[in-house]
Amino acid sequence: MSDSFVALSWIFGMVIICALIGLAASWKVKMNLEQWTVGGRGFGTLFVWLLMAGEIYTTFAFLGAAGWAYSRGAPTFYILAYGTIAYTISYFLLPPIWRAGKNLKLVSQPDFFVKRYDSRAMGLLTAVIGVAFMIPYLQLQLTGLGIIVETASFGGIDRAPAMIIAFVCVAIFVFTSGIRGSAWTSTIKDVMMVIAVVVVGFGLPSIYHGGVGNMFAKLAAQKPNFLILPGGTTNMDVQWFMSTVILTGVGFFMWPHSFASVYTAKHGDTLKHNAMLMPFYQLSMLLLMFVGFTAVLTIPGIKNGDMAFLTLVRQTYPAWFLGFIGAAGAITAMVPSSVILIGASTLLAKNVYQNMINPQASERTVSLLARSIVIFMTLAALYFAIAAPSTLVKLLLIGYNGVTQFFPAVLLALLWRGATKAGVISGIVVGVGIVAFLTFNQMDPFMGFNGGFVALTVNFIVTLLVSLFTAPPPKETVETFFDAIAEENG
Amino acid sequence: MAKKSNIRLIFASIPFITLILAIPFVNKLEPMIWGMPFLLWWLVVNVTLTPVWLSIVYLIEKQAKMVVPKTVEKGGAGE
Repeated sequence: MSDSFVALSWIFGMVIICALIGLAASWKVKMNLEQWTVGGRGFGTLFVWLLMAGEIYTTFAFLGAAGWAYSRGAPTFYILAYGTIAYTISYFLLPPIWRAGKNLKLVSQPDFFVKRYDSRAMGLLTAVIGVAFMIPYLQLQLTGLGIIVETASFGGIDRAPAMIIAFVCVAIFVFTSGIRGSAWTSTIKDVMMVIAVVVVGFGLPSIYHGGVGNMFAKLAAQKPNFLILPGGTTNMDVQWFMSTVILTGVGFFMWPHSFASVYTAKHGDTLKHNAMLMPFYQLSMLLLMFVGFTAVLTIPGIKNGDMAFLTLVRQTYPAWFLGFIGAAGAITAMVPSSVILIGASTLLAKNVYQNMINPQASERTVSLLARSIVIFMTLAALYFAIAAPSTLVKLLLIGYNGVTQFFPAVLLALLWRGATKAGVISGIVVGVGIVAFLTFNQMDPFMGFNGGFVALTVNFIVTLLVSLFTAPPPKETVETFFDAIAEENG
Repeated sequence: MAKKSNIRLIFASIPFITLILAIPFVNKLEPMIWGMPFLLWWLVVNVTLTPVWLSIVYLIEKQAKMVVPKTVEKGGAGE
């Protein structure tokens, strides 16, 4: 049995097992649209925690973090800080969103804006922008999966066929089990990830350098500036770090699927418990960085940093372990992908089609449409991943730059009765416009600052100014909303 | 009640100070503590401490009955 056969068997075997589990999970519960998307609102703390954890450990974390540690050094540390900031914010921000969801029967992110700002345009705008910026995120998963299979095949399988196979599996289990299937496979993935990352994160520095401390001592001696900002870059210094932590910390729950997952909590308190616990999870990113740093010393000169992690594992460990890690990585790409696809397809089928275009559409038509969109989006992301490839981190940051532009609309919805639909729409349009401009002209970082952060700042100012000069939604709409989020009603 | 509100915001703002505002001052290699470059060590310690600060916020809220414990069933209207 060749090494590649062994490694690949693990990966494809795991994919099949997870698809089967997804199917099994779905047979227990009859599926209609609301069941499919928010699991009937019956999730307890543990399940919500698992679902949210599964969303953090994406291919970006697994391959991208090690890849950045390898190629950029210290700027990678932003990953430790941003999740922690995000959870601190979430402690205060999420419970009122959950209450709004429960009391106003919200299912998706645009629902929130429509109810608060009395604006179907706002619902449409946020649905379209949300889906648009989920495509780079989906593309990131596909690219990562491609790297995993390519490396595990020892060059035998090309990236494209491997991605096609894995994503057929994703489409299948998304089709039948929705959010519950993802939660179960998320559990498996988290267990495997912990094992993989602990073994490799401590093992590799140990094997090659006699421990993490020695590894850092050697690296500090060889490349002293690599481990402080701006590390291996020229444009990611202290102000980039600070602005990126703010941007991604604030944007963490602005992703349509992350936002919607808030509604699935059993109780507002569950979200506070998560906020308290989740920062610990951030620390395991450290182990991934150790691998990247070990690789800098051991296998310097790899052009695509995202491949450093697996390349080092491949030359250090037996094929079956590479397969195990590859399998963990495959699920790590599949689970968030399915959550993204469910989120996006529901957005377009319900919010755009049913609410805006054809309110007479039956529940069955909408469900069918949602499932068709899953297939379409998967194919689109696959196309871009093959035809217009990009590095994992760049894809994620582009996504963040976009979705974070929703933050002023969310924050002001909860705090300021004077926020108007004209204000938030203007802010979002201006913010996204700036992001698009900076991205296409390669101007991010902009004057040393994170481009999305710059756009967000302008967005906030525009939102406030325009709101001051335009009329707020009808008093009844606003008061209903503020009643719904009041703490006594939680 | 207002006083409790302010105290909990102080604790909640600590992560922002240590993980964002302090960065220009802690962007150093030396001293290397626990084998890690100083910048990294600083981040690791403060990330680890964040659950402590949030737990304190939670306790303050529970004390001031701002948090409804899960076991309590909501009574009629107007609580």
